[in-house]
Amino acid sequence: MDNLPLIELSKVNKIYGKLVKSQILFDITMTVPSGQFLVLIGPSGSGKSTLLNIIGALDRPTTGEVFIQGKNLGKFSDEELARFRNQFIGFIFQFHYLLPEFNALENVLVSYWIHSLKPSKEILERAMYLLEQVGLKDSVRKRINLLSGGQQQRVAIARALLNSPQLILADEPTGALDTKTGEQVLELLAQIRQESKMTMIMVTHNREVALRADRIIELIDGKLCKEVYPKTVGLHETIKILESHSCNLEDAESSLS
Amino acid sequence: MFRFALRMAWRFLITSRSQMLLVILGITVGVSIQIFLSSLISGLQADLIQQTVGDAPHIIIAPEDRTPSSFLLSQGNLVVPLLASPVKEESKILSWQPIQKQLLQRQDIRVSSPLVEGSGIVQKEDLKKNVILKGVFLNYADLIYKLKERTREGITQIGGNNILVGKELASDLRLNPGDTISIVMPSGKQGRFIVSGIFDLENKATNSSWIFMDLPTAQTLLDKEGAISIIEIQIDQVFQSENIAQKLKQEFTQYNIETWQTRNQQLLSALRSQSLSSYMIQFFVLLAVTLGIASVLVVSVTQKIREIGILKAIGTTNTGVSLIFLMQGAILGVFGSSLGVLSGFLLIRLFQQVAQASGGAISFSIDVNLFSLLLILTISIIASILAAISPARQATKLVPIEVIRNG
Repeated sequence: MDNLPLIELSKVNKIYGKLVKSQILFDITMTVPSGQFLVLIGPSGSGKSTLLNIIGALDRPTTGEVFIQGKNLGKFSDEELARFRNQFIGFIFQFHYLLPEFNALENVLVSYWIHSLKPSKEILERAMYLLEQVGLKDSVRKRINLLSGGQQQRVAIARALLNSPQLILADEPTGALDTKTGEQVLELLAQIRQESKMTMIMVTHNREVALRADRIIELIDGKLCKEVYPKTVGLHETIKILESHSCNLEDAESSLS
Repeated sequence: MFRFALRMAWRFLITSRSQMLLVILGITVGVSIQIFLSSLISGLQADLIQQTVGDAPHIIIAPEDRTPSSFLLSQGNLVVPLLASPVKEESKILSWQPIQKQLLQRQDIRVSSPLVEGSGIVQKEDLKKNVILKGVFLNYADLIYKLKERTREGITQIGGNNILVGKELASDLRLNPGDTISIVMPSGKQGRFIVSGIFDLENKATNSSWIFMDLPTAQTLLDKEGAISIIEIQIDQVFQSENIAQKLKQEFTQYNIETWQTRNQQLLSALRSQSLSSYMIQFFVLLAVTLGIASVLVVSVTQKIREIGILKAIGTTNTGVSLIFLMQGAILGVFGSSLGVLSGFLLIRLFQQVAQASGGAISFSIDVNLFSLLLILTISIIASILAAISPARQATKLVPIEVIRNG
């Protein structure tokens, strides 16, 4: 299992629309090893969010296959995919997407409730611990609408972590936050990642954020265009590659690492 | 998942409290009307049946008609009916004592009372009136007609020349207990009798024409020595009559066994159509309530589109999501129906009080039947859940990325 990449995409195409077809992703082939912090960048409409949703089993590719831990997601039924998302993946979206009907603690516990019975004492303790970790120890029982944007996003992070997922998918987690709050959230994610060695894939517009990743992939018009390992090539070289107007990936095949 | 769905459903409902209360109110009104209506109708029908057959025989054993109902006689070339109306030879039961004995031993029969019947004319001074003579044994007949209870004047006694007359007859002929009258038969036979008591059977026709007398006296007067006309039977459960009649038919093959139903076809069909219209009203009330629940839940799917999207994204299955909506239906149904039962009771109480206050105290008791109560409760809860099916399916169709993409 160790040799197996955590995520493997093979010739993934995504076409939306039935009458007017628009292809969002073209023959994406790539792998993500376990424990990597991968950042997907690219202009709006380049397909990075679509790619993230396909990896996250929220969406199915039109053609091509997605393997996670060697399991072909295409063979899963919708119900199995839902269960898989719940157990395996933690989602953090641009907007927090919490349930306004519940308080902070309950929102964290939701992802446990979905498939289990009454939460055990351990789960409750874990939820409390996570909320404490994201700095919301005092707002545990507060209704979601009474929390600030940054606090809400931190509740969402705690929720994503509750089931100890192997993969965290974050789609512009700081997009709706001001710079300072955004920075705090990023710090928190970095800290969690270091502690848990989880695999994280993040979509962002923010180059600052991207530079902290293990690996950066830039998408343009639904194709993989550039790939950089900032920690290997250094900050200077990374910026140079990102600013250049030519792709360093001829085709997706060469990005296999 | 069940627990999760219940929790979600409850929260979804209480966050849109006014919506929820309105729906519950709707169900409450619907269910209480159903309970009120069904209790009212069943009370009314029970009363009607009691009035019709309460103090009348439920089953009658009569001799078989030995005469054809009509016959033709040729007269030259013409064939004409000899008589326009069916000819009935005066039929009677000769050996009635063994039958009566057998009937008295049966567990399913409350009372059987032999009866000699015929018509005559009562005369008091120059007043005359057609009457129906009923020759009975008082101890048996009383169990059917409750004569002792219903004697308004005088005493309930029919031995010898004593007779009981109805209230209307007494006032028509200006009779008082102790008066002497003469009864003339079509055959010319006549006798003098003493009015010992005046009864009130709460039926004008009966009160103005019936005369009860001792069975042997009636036999003599009607030229039926040793024979009786029919045997009247009362049973405990009026609607068991057909069953019991079937059994009696097997036992007493040479006799006609008639039930109160055959003599009250009109009443029964009226009751049937009354029940039918009550069911119709209940059905449409239920339908309206169900549609109301469905429409509110359909709207709530749109209102909760974001929440449903999130729940699905973080791993709620389609089954789980639809369960949330079915649960909402169930919760609304349980609360609404339970309140409906309570307010149904209140409505009945209120109805009785208003009727009393306006002077027209209702003559019958509205009794709430536990079985129909549970039936209404069950049906309305099931209907509430069914109402949630369409919204549940709508929620199933929702694609989480649509929600996420559109923020």
